[in-house]
Amino acid sequence: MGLISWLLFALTVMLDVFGQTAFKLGLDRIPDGSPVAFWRAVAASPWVIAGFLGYCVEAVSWMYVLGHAPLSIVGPMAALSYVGAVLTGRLFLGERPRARRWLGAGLVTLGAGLVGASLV
Amino acid sequence: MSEPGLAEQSGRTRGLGLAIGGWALFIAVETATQVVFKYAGATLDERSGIGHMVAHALDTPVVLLGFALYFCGFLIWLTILKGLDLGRAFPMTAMIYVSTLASAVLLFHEALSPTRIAGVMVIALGVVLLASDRGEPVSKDEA
Repeated sequence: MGLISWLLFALTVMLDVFGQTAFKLGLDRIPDGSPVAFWRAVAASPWVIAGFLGYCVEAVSWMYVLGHAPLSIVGPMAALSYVGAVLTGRLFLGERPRARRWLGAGLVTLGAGLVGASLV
Repeated sequence: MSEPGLAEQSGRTRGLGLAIGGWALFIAVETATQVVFKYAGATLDERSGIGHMVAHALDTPVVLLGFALYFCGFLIWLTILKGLDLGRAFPMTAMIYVSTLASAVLLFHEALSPTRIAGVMVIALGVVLLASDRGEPVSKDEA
């Protein structure tokens, strides 16, 4: 797995966290209503659109990484984006994680480190 | 008088059925996306230049299939995310990791070392902890 793959892997994780956070920010601003009204509001939401553009770049980046790295390495390691989501949930979405969620985030990071180390 | 009506109960059951069906469809689509991406990504070569790479990608059916699946997964995901905390809903997507790991072994014949298996198990444990924390209730004056 080369340097480009690792850099694009990092980019993929960051764009994923950005996209998920943006989707949630957008969805939180959409009132409950009929499916038609919901999808119309989704298509018009600046946050959802921003997240979707990030998603498009992420898709290309991720496709490259998968094509050049073992799926059983980068697949599980992509769980690092959950750690990012706990952080952005706390910082930008007003979510109140308890100790258990932080412990989970720590374990995911540790496990991702182990999976990465298994490559060597 | 205040007992739940029949319509309300069947509505609740239908809601649960929809939720489980939604997650099952989501996991199936996402796993297929990873497998197709793995095939498609091998055709991408950055050495020929970004422009050339993108042009080539848009001309390759397996790449387009991957993007189509990705987009379907995105639409299903938005409907799921609508009703849940991001910090909880997002880790539930970790169920995809089990199916993805199985495809790595079965379709791409990747070998799993003890370290890699241990790492995946630690990640899975972490994800279970993440997803099972409901979070502290937000007090009214802070909200």
